[in-house]
Amino acid sequence: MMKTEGGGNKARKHRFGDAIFQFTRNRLAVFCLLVLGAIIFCALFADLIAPFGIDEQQISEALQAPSRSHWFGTDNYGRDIFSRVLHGGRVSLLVAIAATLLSTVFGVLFGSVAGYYEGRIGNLIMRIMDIFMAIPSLLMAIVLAASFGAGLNNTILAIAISSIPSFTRVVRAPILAVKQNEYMEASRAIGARTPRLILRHILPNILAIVIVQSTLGVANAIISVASLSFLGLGVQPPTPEWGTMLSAGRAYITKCYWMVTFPGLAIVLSVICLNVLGDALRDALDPRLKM
Amino acid sequence: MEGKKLLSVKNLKIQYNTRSMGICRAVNDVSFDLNYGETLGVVGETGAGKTTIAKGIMRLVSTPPGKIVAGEVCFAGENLLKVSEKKMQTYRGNKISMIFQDPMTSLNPIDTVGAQIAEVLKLHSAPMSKQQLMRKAADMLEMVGIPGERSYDYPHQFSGGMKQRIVIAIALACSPELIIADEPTTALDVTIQAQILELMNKLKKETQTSMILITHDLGVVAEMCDKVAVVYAGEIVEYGTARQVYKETQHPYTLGLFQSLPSLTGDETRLKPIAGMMPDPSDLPPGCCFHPRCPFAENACQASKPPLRVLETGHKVRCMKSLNGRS
Repeated sequence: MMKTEGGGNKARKHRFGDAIFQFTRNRLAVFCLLVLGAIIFCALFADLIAPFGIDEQQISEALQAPSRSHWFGTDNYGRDIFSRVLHGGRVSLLVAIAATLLSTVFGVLFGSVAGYYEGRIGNLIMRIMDIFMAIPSLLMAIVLAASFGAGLNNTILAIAISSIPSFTRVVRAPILAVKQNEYMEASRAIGARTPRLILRHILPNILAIVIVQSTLGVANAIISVASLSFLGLGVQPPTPEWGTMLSAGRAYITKCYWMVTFPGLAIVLSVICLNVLGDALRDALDPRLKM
Repeated sequence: MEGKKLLSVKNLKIQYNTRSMGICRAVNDVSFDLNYGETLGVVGETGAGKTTIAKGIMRLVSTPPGKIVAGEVCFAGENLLKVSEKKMQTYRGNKISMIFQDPMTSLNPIDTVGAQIAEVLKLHSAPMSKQQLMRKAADMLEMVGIPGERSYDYPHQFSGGMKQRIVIAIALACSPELIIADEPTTALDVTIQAQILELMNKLKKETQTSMILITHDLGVVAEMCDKVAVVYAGEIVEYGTARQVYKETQHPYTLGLFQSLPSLTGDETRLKPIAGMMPDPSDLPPGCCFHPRCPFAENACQASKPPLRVLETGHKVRCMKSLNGRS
């Protein structure tokens, strides 16, 4: 929408400038952003960074403790855990981000329809979401993954579907509030149509909430992916994935701590960073603080 | 210009069907005409149905629970209640525009004011580039007395009076033929009120726009309006030129409104309000709606609803009695 005109860009910059300034004042959040950036960078360029291939087995070097040649040690097949954590990050993050994007899109769609058309349609959507929410989301993901069958795409789908209901709810509530504002009626009074009302006036008003929710959603999705894979319902071995690696290392936990520690650390680190980031974004984008 | 009808509302009837209170008869048989270039003041207490009349003309009564039950709204010869919603959308903001009561809430907080003025231009005028739109928006801002370069600012960076100027700029952007101003100065303090009224008067004269001014401030009406309609419980109880209504008040309700104004010269220490409350629109009293509060009420007032009598001067009043010489 704002592509050609210089003035428009100036206005945009102005609006997000405040938010960025607020964000940079939060040191912890900036640190977490850097860590997260590093994790994503490593996952993206895993091929170049990893010293060993993901399936490179050296039976003679199986179950070695961390050393100079194998930073994170090796697993029971003699595969380098550092390389597998890097490649695993690629899968975990990809699945988590894809699932969150999917649930964001559908959550916003259902939420805005349910919020805007409060009557019968809204009720119908929300009651369906209530039914879905009555089932714990991990359990739901497990059921879905089990019925779709294991695999990358099905995992994404299962996690996305299980998190759509909460998204819908989070989006609907502020829409109900925004809808009541007089400027909605005012824009109707200048001749705007319903789609324009939703896209131009309602959604931008709840954008901050959507951004925060999806950041936190990615963190949840990472845990869900790992959980599903740990249970053998998600990404299948030999594809490296943090949850799968945890699952494989479980049997050796008493003797070879490194098999579960490093994938576990990767999960913890990315989830903590995403959560801190989400909170910082919430503070930075909160319009109440901007006045 | 003179004497040509722009808007003619006939027997407009709007009801709200609520679950808890049953049918609320918000607007009952309201009829009035508005000529080109004229200003009509619609006066009445809170809840008299003034805003509903305005929304009825714009066809913005939210349905459900509201419903325009009967009547006609002829705008430049066309019955707006019959045209398609799509056509209506091309009228709103273009030929008829509205100024809302509270400028604090009628601007979208996340959009620059320039973009909000540009939006109405974009919706209704010939396609033009973003730059042209923004330039026109800046021109509109200048017109209402705000520097054009402020069009990249957000609503929260403006004061209440300036926001109302922006709302006026949006309303005037497409040079409409009719402006409906719904209590445009209620949310502003008195000095700003005067400025805004002056601005509206000036712009109205320059553009020859007709206006419906909804207010409960009799002073505002005196300053701005050619004709006045006094609304009580969804009915017009008195209608005439500003002079007629102010100098030759006919209806006891209008009289009560004038008497409840504090006097600058008298030494009374108390206000003289009209006794009682506005009737519940879901349970209107029989006969004349005002009779429970009317100091001149008789049994006949309860028995049947008085018609809107037309006096020889064109002054209309919905009262059985003649009030002349009683004030």
